Amino acid sequence: MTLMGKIIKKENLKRLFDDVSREFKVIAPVKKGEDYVLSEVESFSDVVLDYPTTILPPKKFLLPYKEPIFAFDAEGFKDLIPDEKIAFFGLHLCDANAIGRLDLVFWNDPYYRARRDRMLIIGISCKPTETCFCKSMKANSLTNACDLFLLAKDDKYIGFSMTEKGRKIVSQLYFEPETVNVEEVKIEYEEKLSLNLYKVERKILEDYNNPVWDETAKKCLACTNCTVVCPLCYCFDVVDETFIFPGEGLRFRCWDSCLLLSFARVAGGHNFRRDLKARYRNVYTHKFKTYIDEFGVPSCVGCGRCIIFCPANIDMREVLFKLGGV
Amino acid sequence: MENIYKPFKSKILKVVDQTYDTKVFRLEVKNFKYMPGQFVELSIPGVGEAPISITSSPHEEGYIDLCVRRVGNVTNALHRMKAGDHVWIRGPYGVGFPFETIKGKDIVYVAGGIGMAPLRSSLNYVLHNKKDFGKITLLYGARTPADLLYKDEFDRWANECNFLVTVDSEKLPDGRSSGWKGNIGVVTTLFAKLNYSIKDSIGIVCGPPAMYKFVIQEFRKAGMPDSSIYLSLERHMKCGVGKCQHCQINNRYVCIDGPVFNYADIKNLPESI
Repeated sequence: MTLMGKIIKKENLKRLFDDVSREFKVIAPVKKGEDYVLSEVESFSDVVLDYPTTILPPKKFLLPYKEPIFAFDAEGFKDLIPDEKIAFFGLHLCDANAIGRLDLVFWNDPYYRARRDRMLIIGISCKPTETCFCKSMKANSLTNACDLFLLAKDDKYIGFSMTEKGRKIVSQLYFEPETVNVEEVKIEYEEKLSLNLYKVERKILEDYNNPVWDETAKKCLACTNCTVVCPLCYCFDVVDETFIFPGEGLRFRCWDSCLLLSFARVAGGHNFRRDLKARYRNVYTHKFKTYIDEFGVPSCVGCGRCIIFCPANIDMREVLFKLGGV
Repeated sequence: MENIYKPFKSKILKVVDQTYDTKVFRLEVKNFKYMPGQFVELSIPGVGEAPISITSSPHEEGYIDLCVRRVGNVTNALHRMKAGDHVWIRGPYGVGFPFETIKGKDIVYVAGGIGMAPLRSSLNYVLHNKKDFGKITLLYGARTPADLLYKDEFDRWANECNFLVTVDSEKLPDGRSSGWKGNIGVVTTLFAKLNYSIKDSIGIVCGPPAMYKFVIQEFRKAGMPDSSIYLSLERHMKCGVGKCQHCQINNRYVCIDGPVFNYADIKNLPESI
């Protein structure tokens, strides 16, 4: 499929940003200490478009870590559907693809959907780092989760519109009138370890007692860093908090992690995944088996955050490699 | 857009004490269609939400019964409530017992402890439609005589099906003797007391996690194929709609694919029982 792009000069990006920020709360990559984060920005001068992976993925805005979903009192439960209009300005393809994969799970979730329907996503090309493995996870090509994608080309960007919202933007005057045709938009690079997703998917339940689980679980601290920074770990817990009067308060949806000891515990105390090995393996069986069974793609986009932020230096690629080989 | 997490208000019509830690709550519902084996998410505002199986039979209309043991925050709070109070529920969720596929067959129910709650829904529904079924057997085990649920239905069950009951210990939870004269031993000891073949029967099991593999062994010994065995599995389904992941068993969700599973489908599924 040929994609038609329109050129925007670097100096015109500010005009694009200003236009977007008039209508949306803009979330963009900014520098924070030595790291980069996705944060609300008001001025284009704060935005860093040439950035490595951010600490937290976009899910922190789509599925906030502690989100009120109902207000309750004696009369019952009142929906707290968000109405904020968020624009991501400059998401890498891994993160944009992650949103596309979250859509598959949460399209009928009223809170996620309300944000998503009002959302604008502008993607931007990236420079893969040594922890990236989006190619193996089939998340290195352009997705229509992006309304608009900006491909860096010399001192310009080529803008590809994937949706009606995107088409409106590229019709603005700060995009050059002529079009550029390309066959596809894909991030190509040499991965440190190239993984065979199909083999992993097949082997993960077949080879359930592979020694890799023992080996890796011994190193794992169950700190949940990997699931927190993962753009596709979406497990949640639901908790009620009351105000001064009992029976009045808020019901929250909070991030949870299947690495936590309490995750598969039932009333009465039985725990179906008491061993860390079982919990650790569960992260993988969900990402590379359950999710593929359900949706045809893994719930991993190879962003590498789990590798960067693991205090025990566990590299998910190596685990998958031992499991499935090349 | 419909809010899939939003519970509706339901009045508690009646509360019946079953044991020292278990009560049955009758909740008012309207146009509420469900099958035995399905569950609801029950909310007490400020305390939280918990998945509870339905213990009444679909032929009873206008209400559902929930048989609840006091074990966590929500169930403890529920135990403090009385007729006339309100709770909030949503559901029903999950796949129940396969009523149509087991029609015409003999059925052997094996219940352990609070596992009696969902099985009772299926049992009473089957007994209500008894002409559609063959011989019905109920094997029921509890820890002590004080833990036996639905004692007021024992006579009816004994009349309408082959009902055998056992307790792990005749001693009451406080250590006193109960004077129990019936069977003593785990529920699987009741299989030896069946003087007829259950090879062609359907087996339906619900109980504590440790019970399943021993009951399955008994069914297999009797010559029952795995595909004739149905298990109702327990997990903490937090959302009920296949999202929160708490009830995930590898590539199955208890809230969507279960809680009732055909054993042949999950026997190779690690962590299932």
